[in-house]
Amino acid sequence: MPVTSRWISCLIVLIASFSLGKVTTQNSSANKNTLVLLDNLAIKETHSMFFRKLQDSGYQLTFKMADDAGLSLKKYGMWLYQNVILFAPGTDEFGGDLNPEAVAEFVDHGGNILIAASPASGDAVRDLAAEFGVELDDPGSYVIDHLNFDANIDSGRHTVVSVDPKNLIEAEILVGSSNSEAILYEGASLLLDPDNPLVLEILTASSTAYSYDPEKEISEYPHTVGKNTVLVAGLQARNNARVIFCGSLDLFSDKYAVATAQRGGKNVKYGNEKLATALAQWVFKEKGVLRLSNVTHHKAGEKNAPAAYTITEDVVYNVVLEELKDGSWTGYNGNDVQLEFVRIDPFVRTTLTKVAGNKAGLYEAKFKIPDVYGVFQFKIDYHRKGYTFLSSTTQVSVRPLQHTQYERFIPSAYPYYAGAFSMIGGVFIFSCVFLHYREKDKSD
Amino acid sequence: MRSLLISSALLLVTIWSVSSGVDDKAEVVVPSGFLCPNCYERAKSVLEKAWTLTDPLVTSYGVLVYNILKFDIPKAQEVCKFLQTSLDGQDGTKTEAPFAISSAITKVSGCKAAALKPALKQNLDKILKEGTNSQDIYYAAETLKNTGGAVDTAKIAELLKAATKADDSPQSLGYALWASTVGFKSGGKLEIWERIEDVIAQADEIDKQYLQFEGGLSVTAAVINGVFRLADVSGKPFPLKNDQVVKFSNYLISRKTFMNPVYIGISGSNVLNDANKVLSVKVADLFGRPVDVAVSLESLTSSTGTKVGDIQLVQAVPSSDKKTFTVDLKSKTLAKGFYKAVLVPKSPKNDKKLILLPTTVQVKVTGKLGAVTARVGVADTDQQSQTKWHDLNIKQKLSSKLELDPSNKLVIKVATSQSLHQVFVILKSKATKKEVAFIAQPESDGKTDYKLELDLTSNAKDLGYNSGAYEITLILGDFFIDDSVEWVLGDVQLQVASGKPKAPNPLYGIAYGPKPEIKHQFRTPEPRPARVLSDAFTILTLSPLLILFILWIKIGANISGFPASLSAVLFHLGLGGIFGVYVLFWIKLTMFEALKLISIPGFITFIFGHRLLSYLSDKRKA
Repeated sequence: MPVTSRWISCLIVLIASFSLGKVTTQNSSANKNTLVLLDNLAIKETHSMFFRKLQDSGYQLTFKMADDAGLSLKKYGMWLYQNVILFAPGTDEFGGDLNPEAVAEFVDHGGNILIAASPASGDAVRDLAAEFGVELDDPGSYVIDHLNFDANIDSGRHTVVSVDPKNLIEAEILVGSSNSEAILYEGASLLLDPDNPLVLEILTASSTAYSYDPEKEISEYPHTVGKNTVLVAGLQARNNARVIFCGSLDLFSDKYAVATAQRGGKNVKYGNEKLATALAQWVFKEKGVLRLSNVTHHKAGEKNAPAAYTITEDVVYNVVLEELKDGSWTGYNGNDVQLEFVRIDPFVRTTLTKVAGNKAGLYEAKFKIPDVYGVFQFKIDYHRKGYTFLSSTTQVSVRPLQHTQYERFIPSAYPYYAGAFSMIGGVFIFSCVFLHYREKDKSD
Repeated sequence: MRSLLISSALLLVTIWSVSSGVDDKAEVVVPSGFLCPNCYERAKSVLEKAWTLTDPLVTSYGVLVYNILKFDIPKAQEVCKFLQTSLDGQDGTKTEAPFAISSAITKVSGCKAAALKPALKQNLDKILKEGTNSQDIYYAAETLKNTGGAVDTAKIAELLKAATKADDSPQSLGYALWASTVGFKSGGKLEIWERIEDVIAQADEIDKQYLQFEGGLSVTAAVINGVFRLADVSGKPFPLKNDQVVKFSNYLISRKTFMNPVYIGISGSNVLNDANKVLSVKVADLFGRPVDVAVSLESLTSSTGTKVGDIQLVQAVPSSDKKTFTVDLKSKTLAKGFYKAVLVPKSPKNDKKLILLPTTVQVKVTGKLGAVTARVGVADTDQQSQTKWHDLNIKQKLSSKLELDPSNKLVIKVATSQSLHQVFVILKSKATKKEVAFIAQPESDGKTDYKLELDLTSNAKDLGYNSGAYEITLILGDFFIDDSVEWVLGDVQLQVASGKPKAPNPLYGIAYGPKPEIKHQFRTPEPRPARVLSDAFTILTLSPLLILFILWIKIGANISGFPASLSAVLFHLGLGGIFGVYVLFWIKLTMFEALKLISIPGFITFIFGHRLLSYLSDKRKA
């Protein structure tokens, strides 16, 4: 047997034995079960760096074909996965029990989805996009930018656009910090439903970009032009489930992750790998997850909450805000958390301050209860781009002053008091004089 | 650790198999990439962990991969010793470890495996007598062979037949193919050969470029190498077709002992323009090594299907390392557009092992934008007065700020020397930074003069009914020009027809970011009279009592008739007590407390008042 073929067999055995032995990593975590749906198994390898990074951070990836007849997200009423990666743009119809409604239901129950589309997207992905307020451009249309494209990778149609990182959303938690490198993108443009307030434009194209079929002359207004061309959209549902919709499957690919651009005579890596990681960390809730607990309130100088507050009392409100960082809950550092004191409309809106020296995320607000009585709520509604929505309401009643709580003696009323007391004194003395007066004898 | 190794091996293959694809509509399948030198280095760095000698499996696979990639194994003696001791520690309940370790030992120079421990050998022999899993059978057989043991090929063939019957997945068959080659002597029976066709039929085709088996890389690699090895040892003709080989090898890394597909592709940019009219072609085998071939450009066909007349079999000039070839097209005149270049490799020595296929690559010829003029004009919608035109050459700006009201139209005309894909006018509001794009259409079909009319009444909705200062930018872009331009024409002041833009329902909206703080405005207490005034009136109120005393003194009021009786004293004390309670009630008591208290002096006053008054009236009658 030639020596060469033996090496090969060894390599093959190496690959075979390892990959057959264990598909997923051993680091198991309750909410890292992830279903990866693919158009073909080659995507697993063209995007291996992205998948490996996920596996290294403990995700259990289950790879399946998107038209697998046995697909199901749920078994015996239990969700099998917490996350779904849908890298199957070409699929026209999902297999098994999966359909856009089932996916929407998955999101309704808190599941997270990362969806990548392409100009050749099938109906399955389009219908799914519509569920989340995103509209994909017609098949065959690419985002084109004649001024910003990568000459090395582009096939000549100027569809491999390099997007200025300034077009990323200003939310560090979503896209990572200090993004200075351009992002490579080849794919379809997205149009967001303006009536869906939950969708965020994470990445938009440059002003010079537009979306059209590169093979055709422009005869009608393109689907999107310039900054209106959304490339990556994110959605955080009201139940804090997260969805990312990207028009380009290649954005996550190994090819773009290792691609470099000439800048100032040096080869600089594109920001794709960094962005892909940041997006995955956000969508799978590794970042930007907050929770709120231990709401307490009491009168200033006391310890326990009263049955009811009286108007114009000083009140102290405390709450613990925590952020999930590297898998553990730590005190949240935010200086823009606001507390409202609401009776239909907010009467007071004040910024919570972090209690000095407390590392557990204890926040405090002090204010004077308004001179209006009724049923009020302490309300926190914290909406920041990228962070989970926090909301908390605590109902308290505020009553007017009791009759004994008013000012007892008003100087202006002293004449009235004087009148009353002088009358009392007068009656007492007069009664004595009246009963016991004896006329002096005229003889005296 | 394991996952890292898997990924290292995957990486090797992935980077290689996923280079840029050629035109996928091409009829002939050609190799789509080769293994870059970078990939070797990356694989090496990932395998660095193997030399810490902690996990025998990792070390074994490190040795094997280094061997394939022709890297020197560091600390060979220590590695050898480590592997030998680990092999002795194996008991054979798992077949993978002894197999990997024993294979690795044969790859370390000067290293020899000792005879197997009895427990291990027993287990392996057991598998070779009654094994049911082709993978285990292969591992056991290979381990025995590596350590110098004898293998019963006939028995193995029998076992494999049963194993593949029970499980006819590509994976099972792949291992069976390998196992059949262990200890095979030429002339032996090879029943398994018949199964090759079944396996290959199970392969899936992707994009007409790749062939692979379900299960991905490892399974595909297992089957293909099994086939190669079997053909190798048996001396039978290779059972796969050329295009199948290319498609499989496009999919996975494998060393072709019979065939060697040659990769031909554009190196660097596929764009030809006046500055660079040299086509650079890369030629290599799938490991990125130079191949001894000659390459020529057979033809150049434009996208409309016409061949460029004066290009026929242009010989490419090889570089010194034979990896790249250059085709000089400086003397040719080429119109802008896409071309299909057919590159034909030929082996000067007529090497049959090379798979030489003509490759079609896409080439793009680009040019300059050329002369462009723009005219910006303000016209009346009712066309009463003449349009005032401002003519601009490229990169020039309007000298003054144009002012338009709803009865005006903004007209922009662009004359270019060629048709362009993108002729957009972008209006950017200076206040809101919002951009609105309008498209200039050709004035007549096929012409290269573009016109945009922006009516400030009918287009008001597009501008969001937003009047104010705007910056006009003209964007001229096309696939075939190198200098697409973003040209700021200047500023305009637009007075847009009024209207109400459609706003999303604020009730359902989400406001991100902090809201303005609210401080409650407390009701201010009503103003009170000055203290002096109230004090003065207090004195005034008290004055009647004072007057009473003065008058009484004057008329000589007295209480000389006060009877010396207990009842009189108690009556007056009681009355005083009642008034005292009244005062207390006023100052601090509640009504119920006051009522309780008042009952005592009240009772006393009632009893003694009655007695006093009857005494007084008796006295008066008397």
